[in-house]
Amino acid sequence: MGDIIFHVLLLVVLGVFFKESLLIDMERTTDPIGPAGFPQGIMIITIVLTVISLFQTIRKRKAEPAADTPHKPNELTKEFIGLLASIILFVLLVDTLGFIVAFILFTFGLLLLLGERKYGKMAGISVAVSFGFALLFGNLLSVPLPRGVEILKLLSYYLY
Amino acid sequence: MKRKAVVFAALALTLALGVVGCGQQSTGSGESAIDYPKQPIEMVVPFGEGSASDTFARKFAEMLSKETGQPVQPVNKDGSGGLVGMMHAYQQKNDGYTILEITPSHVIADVLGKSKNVKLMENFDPLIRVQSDIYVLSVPSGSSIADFDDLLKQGKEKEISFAGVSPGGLDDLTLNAIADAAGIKIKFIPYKSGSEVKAAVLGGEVDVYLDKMISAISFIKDGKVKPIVVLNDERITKIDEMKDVPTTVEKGVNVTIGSWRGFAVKKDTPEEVRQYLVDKMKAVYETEEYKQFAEQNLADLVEGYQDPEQFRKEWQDQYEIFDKISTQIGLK
Amino acid sequence: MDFNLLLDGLLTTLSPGNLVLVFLGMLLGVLFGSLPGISSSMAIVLMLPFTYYMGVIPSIILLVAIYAGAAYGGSITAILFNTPGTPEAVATTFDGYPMTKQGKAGRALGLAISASAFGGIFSVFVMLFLSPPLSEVALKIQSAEYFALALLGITVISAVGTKNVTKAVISGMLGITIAMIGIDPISAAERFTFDHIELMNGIEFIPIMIGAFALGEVLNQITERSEAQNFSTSEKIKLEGYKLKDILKYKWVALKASAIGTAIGILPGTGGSIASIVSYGEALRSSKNKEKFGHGAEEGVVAPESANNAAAGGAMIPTLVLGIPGSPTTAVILAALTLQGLQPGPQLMSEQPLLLYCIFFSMLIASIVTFIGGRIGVKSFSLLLNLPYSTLAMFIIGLSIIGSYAVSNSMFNVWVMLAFGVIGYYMKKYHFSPASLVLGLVLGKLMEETFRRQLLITNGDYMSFITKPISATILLLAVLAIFYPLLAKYFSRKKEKSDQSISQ
Repeated sequence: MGDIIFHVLLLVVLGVFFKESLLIDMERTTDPIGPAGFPQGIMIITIVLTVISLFQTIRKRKAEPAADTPHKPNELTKEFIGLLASIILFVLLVDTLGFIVAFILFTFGLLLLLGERKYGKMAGISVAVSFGFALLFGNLLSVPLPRGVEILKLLSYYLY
Repeated sequence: MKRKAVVFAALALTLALGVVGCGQQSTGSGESAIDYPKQPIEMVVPFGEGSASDTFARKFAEMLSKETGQPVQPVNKDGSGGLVGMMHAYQQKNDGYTILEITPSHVIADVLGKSKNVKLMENFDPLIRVQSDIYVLSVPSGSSIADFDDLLKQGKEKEISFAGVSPGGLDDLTLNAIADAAGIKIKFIPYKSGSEVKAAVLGGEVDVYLDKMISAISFIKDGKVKPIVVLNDERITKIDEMKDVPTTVEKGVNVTIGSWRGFAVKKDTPEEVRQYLVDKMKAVYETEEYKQFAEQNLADLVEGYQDPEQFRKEWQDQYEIFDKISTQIGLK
Repeated sequence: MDFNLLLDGLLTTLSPGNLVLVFLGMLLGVLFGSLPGISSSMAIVLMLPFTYYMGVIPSIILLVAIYAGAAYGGSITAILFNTPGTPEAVATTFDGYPMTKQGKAGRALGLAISASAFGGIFSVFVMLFLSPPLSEVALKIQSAEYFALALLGITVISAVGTKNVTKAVISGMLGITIAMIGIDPISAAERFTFDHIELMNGIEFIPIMIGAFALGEVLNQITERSEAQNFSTSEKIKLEGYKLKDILKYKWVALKASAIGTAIGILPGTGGSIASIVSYGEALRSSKNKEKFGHGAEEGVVAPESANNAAAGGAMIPTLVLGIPGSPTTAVILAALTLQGLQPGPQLMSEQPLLLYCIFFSMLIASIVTFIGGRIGVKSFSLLLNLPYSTLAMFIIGLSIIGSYAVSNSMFNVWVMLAFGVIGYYMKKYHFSPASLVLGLVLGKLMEETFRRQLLITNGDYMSFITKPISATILLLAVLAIFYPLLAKYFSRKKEKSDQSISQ
């Protein structure tokens, strides 16, 4: 079933893109194809192929309904969703908290999510990895990691 | 303006007291009245690592660090012809701890209205212009175009193809300005990078090579390409190979667009801070080390320095030219 | 070829100070290369301030050693975590990571090292002997030829990542469509930007790659493991030794890939990533056991790794002879030379005759050192795999986030990475091919831009693609690559039928 939903979603996305491609400004076109021609051609092929693939999938499902049941793990577990949620939280908070604090919380949360329960060890790993990454990327590789606000910003200058 | 200065002074005083309160850092230096800079300064480079603008900014940042005594950290925010970097600088506080490197692409972004949320000329104040570069048109050796007059003649009969980078950018607009002033038919062939432009020219895929002096000069010296005109009002006499190359102005084509690099800060940065930065940057510009760097990079063919007033005028002048051209060619 | 200069170059490079720089550069290159999001050009930019005061020869020795090291480094994380450390290593994940899953990480890394060294050494010899003539040939490669090359590369999309050809092609086409986002390269029209300035330059493909491969794989593992609540065990890994003779077993694959890699590396518009894709396609096409590809075929590691290292040497050729950098990294190296007061350009070789030889020896020694020293590196990197999966997953995700951010220092890319992590996961689950998606992404832009530019130059002459000999030849290869599998299938079916009829 998921397979079919995925196909339909693909078609929807392609539809949106195709509609958007009709709005491309062609006024300054200098070449015979123009800015919209190439993507439109590619999208038409893709849409046709996706429809074909959709029918193949449906037919296969009808032909052997058992094929769908062989055990496939369900991904809507707390780990799967929790992992995505923690990345989102990290990105939302990192500009305020700065890299170090946000990353310590993030790594600690991840370990917790993935079933670790030795809190001391987890804290140790999180802190070590965060400082390690900050030194490696922020300091050695001069990647401008987010610094956070106010006092966190000032403190971060001591590290990277 | 005056009220702002007062507010700032009060703010500075509080901060200063705070620092004294901590009892650690107060040195009571009488050298400057303002308490700036006391933390590292970010220099936003709106281009990718390793680009010519990036190499320049990094070198300048390093020298500026020596002048100010605080690290000046280059931060690359690449994307959308400099817009992403400008947006980033705009989102920071106007406390002078964020400096933005700028080039004509930012003026062009203003002209074309690429972003509704941020505009160089409305949201930023100029510091100084540091480098300036002249455009030169060349043809591959063995080309059927003999010189600029020949180009004008042939261009009236058929379309001439020109190689450059970024459609809708400085190369494109400059070229169209020439075509407009000289009344010739042109076709702009855009490439992804300067290296590909050079390869295409040497391989003979296009008729005319449009590039900045800095990057064209080694091919000119080697005789691989022949310069036919420089977009300037006077000839370049510092280089032997360029002495006999005519200028657009003497040929009656009044187009003298050039590229440049400079710096700006967000609008309403405290006047004292801005002045401080202008002074320090000027000091860097005048060091022997910078002169040597500019000489090696051939960035000293024309005077690069402009003070904030002149620099702002340069923005406005270019804005008007680009505005006219982009309306004509349907970019806008 | 001047033997005095050759000797001079050797002695200069072997002087203790310079030799230390070669080792140091190689180590730094491997480290930077293995970190996702940190490209070799970025690594070299970071080293620039140190080279200011070093003098021309020592700094070029250091920088090219970094370049050579980084070309190999990307394969380490590609093989171990399905996270290509550099874009050049994207094709290495196709078979390198499956090998790791089969417990053959040590062997995969060993092959990658040998292949890298082989490709590196091959290309520096080409550079030493054939630089001037090859640069002349390179100038003949123009828009039409670039398009043909991109098309040849794109034929691989139907064959990687999944058994379902239709879905593989759909995935590749999606990649091309995503590559169209941003300002169009010919007429500057905005496409699919939905009024976002972050989208104006298009979506960077590195975050997509990291998301679809690294994060997608972690999500996959987590789903499988969460059933058994098994996050603490690590993968079983056997560290096999590797020997020179392993690569000799694949000498033709490696040789062909190195030649392709060097040739593509010379072209300014293409680099290691396209070289590795094209050579992967060639290895796949000419292999006898095609079905093993994507499931840990050893040739599938050897070919891209030979090619991307060879591309590094190839890129030096036009840089030195014409003053036109063959890759973004060589452009930075050229900038470094400018900071030393050298004039990059066609006269570089005559003004600095020693330069070529020092570069040759520096890259040669770096390649040899990679081969010998890689053994230690393999052991220490593989130790990471012994960590409990929870810690390893945290590590990979952390690297993915920072790596995506570092591409252009923006959180937008982290969102992209996250989105494509989920998309990549579902694509894989439903037998689409994230690998084809990334290939389409890498080649799509080049294909469109060169196709339209050729038409612009020739005023719409479609025939110009087949009237030019080089372009026509490559196009023919591409057409063969598309139809060869179909023909082969057809003939083998026919044969099967006739076999059956005989046996009946």
